[in-house]
This record gives sequence, C-alpha cells and structure tokens, in this order.
Amino acid sequence: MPGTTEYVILGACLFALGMAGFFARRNLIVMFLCTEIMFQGVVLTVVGFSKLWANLDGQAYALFLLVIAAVEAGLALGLVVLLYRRRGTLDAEAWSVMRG
Amino acid sequence: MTPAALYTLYAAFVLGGAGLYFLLPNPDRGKPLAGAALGALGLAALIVAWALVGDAGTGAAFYALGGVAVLCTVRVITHPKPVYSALYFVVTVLAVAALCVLQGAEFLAAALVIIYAGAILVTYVFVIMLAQQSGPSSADRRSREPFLSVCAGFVTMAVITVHASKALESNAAAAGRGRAEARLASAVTEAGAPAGIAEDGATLSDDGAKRSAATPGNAMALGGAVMTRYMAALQLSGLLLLIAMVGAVAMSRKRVPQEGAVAPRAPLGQAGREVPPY
Repeated sequence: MPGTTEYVILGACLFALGMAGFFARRNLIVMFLCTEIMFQGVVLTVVGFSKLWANLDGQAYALFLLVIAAVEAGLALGLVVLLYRRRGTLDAEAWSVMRG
Repeated sequence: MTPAALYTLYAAFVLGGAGLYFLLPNPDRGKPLAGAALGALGLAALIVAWALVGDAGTGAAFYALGGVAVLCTVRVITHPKPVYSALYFVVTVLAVAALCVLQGAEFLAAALVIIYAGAILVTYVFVIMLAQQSGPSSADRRSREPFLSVCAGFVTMAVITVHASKALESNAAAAGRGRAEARLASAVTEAGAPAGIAEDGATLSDDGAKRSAATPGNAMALGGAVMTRYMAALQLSGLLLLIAMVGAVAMSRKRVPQEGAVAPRAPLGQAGREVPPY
C-alpha cells in the first residue's frame, strides 16, 4: 500500500478535529470553518484511496467535493451575514429558539 | 496494523483529546500551557504511530506536512479570534495541497490552493470583516460543552481510523490487482503511440516533449475522466453552483429588521474607530 493507511489516519484526524470544533465553538463563522476542515480530511482520504487503486476516481470525487465546499461557503456565509444583521451577534446560542 | 501501532494511536488520541480539552477557549477550566504540552505529546505519539504503520510510500515530508496540518487545525478550532482561525486554516489548506502533490494529485493541489486559499478564504475574511463585533465576544471566549465535543470527536477519530485500516488490510490484495491492471494499461498506451519517433533522429528534448504529449499528465487524465465518466455529475455541479448563486443573492438582498438591543450606529466618519482591531 503506498502510504494509504497514513493518509486515512490523517484524514480521520482532520475530520474528527473539525467535528469537535463544530460542536465546541459558538461563533458561527468558526463553526463553518470547522466544516471546511472536515472537507479537507475527506479530500486527503479520497486522494489516498485514489493512489491505492491507481485510478482517478478519488481525485474526481475530491474535485466535486470542492464544488460542494464552494456552494456551502457561499450559502452559509450569506446566512451568517443575514443572521448577524438581525441579532447583532455571531453567537450560535442566540438562535437556540429553534431547539424546541 | 500491528498491536504496537494500534496502542500508540490510541495513546495519541487520548493525549490529543486531553490537550484539546484544555486548549479550547474557556475562562474557568482552560489551561493553555498544560493543553499545549499534552497536545505536543499527542502529536509526537501520532507521528510515531505513522512511522509504525508506515511503509515505503511515505517519508519525512509526509510527517512534517501532516504534523503542520494537525497543528494548524488545532489552532483553527482553539483560537479565540476568528481572523486568526481563518489564517491558520490557510496553512492547513497549503499543507493538504502539498500532501496531495505527494500522492500524485497535482491538479487537485493547484485547485485546492486556488479555490480554497484564494476564493473561499477571502470570502470568510470578508464576512469576518462585515460582521465585526466590538472586542472578543462571550461566544468566542467560552466553548459549548468542551468535554462532550472532544469526546465525540476523538471517539469518531478512533473508530474511523481503526476500522478503515482493518478494511484497508483486507482490501490490499484487491487493490494490488487493480494497480497492476492500471500499470499494464498505461504501459500499453506508452508503448503504442510514440514507438517510431525516436528512430528518425529526433533530439533528446524533442523526444521528451513528444513523450510527455503522448502520455497524459495528471491534469489531462483527470480532465478526461471528468469529461467522460463524470459528465452528468459535472453538469449537476454547474447547476448546483447556479442555484447557490441565485440563493445567496436572494438571501442577501432582503432588508431585515434588527431585533433586540444593538449599540447605536456611529456617524459614518467614525464608524470603525472605537472598535479595537479584531
């Protein structure tokens, strides 16, 4: 295996760190940065698998992942600006009315 | 994976999780120095675990870049100021791009640098600038359930890592077959096209240029795959981008009423002056 195990471990580390950050942080912008870190972990994993199988499927997936990340960033940041204009804070707890 | 590597990995997760718990912004229980020491031990254990599971495919470059990526990721999620988080995230993206180059994904590395570090991060920095608060807010200084979130993250990490490496070991034989087939196919295309070129007195550089035109590089091969096998997905992603663009424009054009008590707006000339740099 051409180093795939190491790449999978590193990808899992980045994904889980992003997940922990998404749960722990309360600033909306940092929460969305954490989702981008989770995307980076997935990119590393699929690139490692692409090398393992010696084909380009993993890299093509990573390319589409980049599209999803761009779409997510655009929409999420639009939402963040909207929420900030309404409440004047970036705290996610300010919107906990939806918790039910 | 040998038991030694497995237990080193578990030790790395426990140490790293404890370090992250102390590093997360928390005015009561945060101990940055102890957290940094534990986190450094965890990172060292992670690198040892990489060396234990490692084979010929990786080297010092992987350890250095992987360490940088993990370190900067930890800073992204622990730094109390969002601007610094975004800048550390740029370093993470650069390290991930370099790791992609190590695995032979040059086009993807360039796309990561251009799209992530160039476009998405600039959008983030713009939004941080637009939604500037006066000083670090309580949302940045106090984490939400740091213990539970660190537990959730690191248990996920351990489960993914161990199960994925077990699955990898059982799949190694099949992957070796796949690699051999791919190598055979590329050998056929290499041998097929430029066979007669070198004979008719071409110079060495000419020969090299012709050969590189005949065997597709990473960008050409990836473009071919995206344009043929993934054509439907490519069209769909274009449609998705269009929908997201329309949605973002529709969302941000709306005039929203401001709720709650917000500090009165300063006159235009002094708008940014009493706000400390963020």
